Amino acid sequence: MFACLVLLLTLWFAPAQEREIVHQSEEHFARGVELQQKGDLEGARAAYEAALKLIPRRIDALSNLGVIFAKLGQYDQAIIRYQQALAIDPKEHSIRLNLGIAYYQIDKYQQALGEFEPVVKAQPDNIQARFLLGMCLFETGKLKESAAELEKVYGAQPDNTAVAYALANAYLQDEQVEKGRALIDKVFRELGSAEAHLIFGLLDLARRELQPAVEELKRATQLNPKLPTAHSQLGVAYLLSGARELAIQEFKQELEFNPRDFIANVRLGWLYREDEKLEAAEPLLRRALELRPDDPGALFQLAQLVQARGKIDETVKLLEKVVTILPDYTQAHVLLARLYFKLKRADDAKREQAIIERLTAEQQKKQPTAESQKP
Amino acid sequence: MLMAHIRRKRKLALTLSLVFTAFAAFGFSSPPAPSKQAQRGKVWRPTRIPAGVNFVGSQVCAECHKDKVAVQGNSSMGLALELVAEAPILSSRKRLDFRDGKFSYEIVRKGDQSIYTVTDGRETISEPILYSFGQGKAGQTYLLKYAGDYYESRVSYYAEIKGLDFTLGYQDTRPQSALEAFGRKLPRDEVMQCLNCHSTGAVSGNQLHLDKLAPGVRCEACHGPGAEHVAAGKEGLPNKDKIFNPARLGGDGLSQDFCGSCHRSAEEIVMAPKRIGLNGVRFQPYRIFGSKCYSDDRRISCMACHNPHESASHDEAYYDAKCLACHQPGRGSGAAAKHSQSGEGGDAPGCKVGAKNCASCHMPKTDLPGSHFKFTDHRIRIAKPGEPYPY
Repeated sequence: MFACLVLLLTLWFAPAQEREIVHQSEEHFARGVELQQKGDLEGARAAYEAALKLIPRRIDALSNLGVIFAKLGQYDQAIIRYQQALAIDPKEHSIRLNLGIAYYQIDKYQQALGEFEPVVKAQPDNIQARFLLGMCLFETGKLKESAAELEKVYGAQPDNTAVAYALANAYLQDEQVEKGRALIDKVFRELGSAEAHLIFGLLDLARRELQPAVEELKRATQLNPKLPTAHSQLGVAYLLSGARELAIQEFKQELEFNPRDFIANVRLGWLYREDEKLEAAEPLLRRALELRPDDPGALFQLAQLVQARGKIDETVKLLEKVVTILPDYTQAHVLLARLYFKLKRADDAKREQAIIERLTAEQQKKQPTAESQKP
Repeated sequence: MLMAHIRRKRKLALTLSLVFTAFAAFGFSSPPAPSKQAQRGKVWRPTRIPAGVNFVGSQVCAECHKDKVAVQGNSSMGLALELVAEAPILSSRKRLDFRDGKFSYEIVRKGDQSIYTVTDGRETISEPILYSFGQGKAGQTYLLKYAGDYYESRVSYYAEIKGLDFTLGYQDTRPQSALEAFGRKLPRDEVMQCLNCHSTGAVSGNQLHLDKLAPGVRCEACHGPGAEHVAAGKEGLPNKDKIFNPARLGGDGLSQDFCGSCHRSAEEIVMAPKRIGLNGVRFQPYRIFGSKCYSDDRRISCMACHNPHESASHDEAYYDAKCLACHQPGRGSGAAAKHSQSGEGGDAPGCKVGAKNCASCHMPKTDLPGSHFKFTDHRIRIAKPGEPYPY
């Protein structure tokens, strides 16, 4: 609105030559809008660029050009245009929302989160922004916060199955199994779709009911072989059932059409690492860490991989990052202590030993009694 | 207005695509549980035999290493698994029995077989024992097969009572059927894990090959396949590098990665899903890892005190020299600092109390309820009376 006002005032008071520039720019912009509506994205892009060449600080043209680039799949270019637009007016929340979406599309969840948070803060009733915020929180592993946001969205849109699915999944991954189950029963029981089987499989997985999980997830993949995450979750179910080779096949299948699936990348990388297929494992684990840079599980796997390659210093750095992110990750502390011993960093090793002793004692108190621990 | 409309349309499209993206992106990574498959480096791992590996067998090793093979064959590791036909405890007892409430158990010798039977009076399950795990100096547990699945016997033989009692961990179980009383059904991975650590050649490429099983932990279980080593030796060529020698590993790698692959490493135990409690005393690599004097120094590794080719000595004095290799009498706490800083086990402080039977105070015998055995706690420390068992 402010931008339009500025434009009108500029037109009113500007000398004739400048008025002509503004007029031409407006014509290019209007043509851009028309072409965009007709689906001629390249034509629209050229028109917006022409409008911007005449008036580089046109926030409307920058924003729409960003949308065009996003639609063309050129998210990096879209992000640049949105950022330029926001530099002119940081309070344009719809542009900020689109910027967040662009980040989301290229799996830069942390950056996306940084854009969605201020939008939701400024517009608490913006359901779309809140949904996206919930999704980003989920993707960055902040499951409780994700569920809290998605609960608000679900409260506003109780008939939206996509939201219900997202919320149920957040519950399940956060081990709020009963809440997840109640929601699933309410929303998905009647559907019988691949998505419904997927979510029932997830529910079984969360309850460690592995055989039913395998059956549900298999059904999901049969109904829709390209249903994202179905193969990777089936892989997880197989893995927990001890069917390692079947798990590998499922993770591979997921990655064929969904190469940026976090679970498939990290789990397959882990399995390949165990099989000493380090060349195959490394890109998968690194891709997993592109998706979730602070995931302690993926970091730990990469640490073990680089250790197998003899890169002790890099291993130590990765493990130190792991225990910073997740201070009670006892297994990482054990490995770190052992490496400190190797590096003759005795004081660091002793400190880790003390942490391990404390954590082990705490864990022992929490855990059920061993039924059988045979050597 | 038009611009806003365009943006709204775009947002709608993106939201729809996000639903698909959202479906695509679900999942999380919990810290992975320790894996039996895990290993590091290019060293041989007793529990990780690649597919296609064939062993020559200890008889071939004996052609050159006759004495060593003979001694090792009679050691605790060499006898970690016994064939039922030859198992001294089973073959020397015509009948063993045990009762738990309505369930009664018996192991009856019939020819070369020992038949394990459980009944509640109405339902009876009776199967021949497949393999006997453990030499029986402390105890012996049995591997059974029923309806195509492998089971761990619910009762075990214990030397101290010269009879049967609950297998460790089963004391508090309350079976509801004869099958539950029979034993615990073992997942395939666990069967392989048991056989990998108690026998030689039975598992390769994550597959069971019982036809290739040699009882006990024999030469190639720790040294890897010997064919190239044998062939080079027969041709008079240097062959030391043709076989894996665990003695060349560093102290920590030996204790945790190598010995710990069966005797349980600290890494494995800390990630155990169930409370280990006192049971952890059976897992020496885990226990020694928590010792104040633990380091990468070989003088604190498993092989510093134990020769894997022989049974462990039960003479405490035997181990004194091992302690004194670092803890020289008369040295004070200043030396301890040096020890700690170097990480090489330099001159550690000497004991103020004595220089004999170190293990009796510093590695206390621990009575594990139900085991009918006192285990040496390998967590080396100044154990004070009444002090709680440290994790």
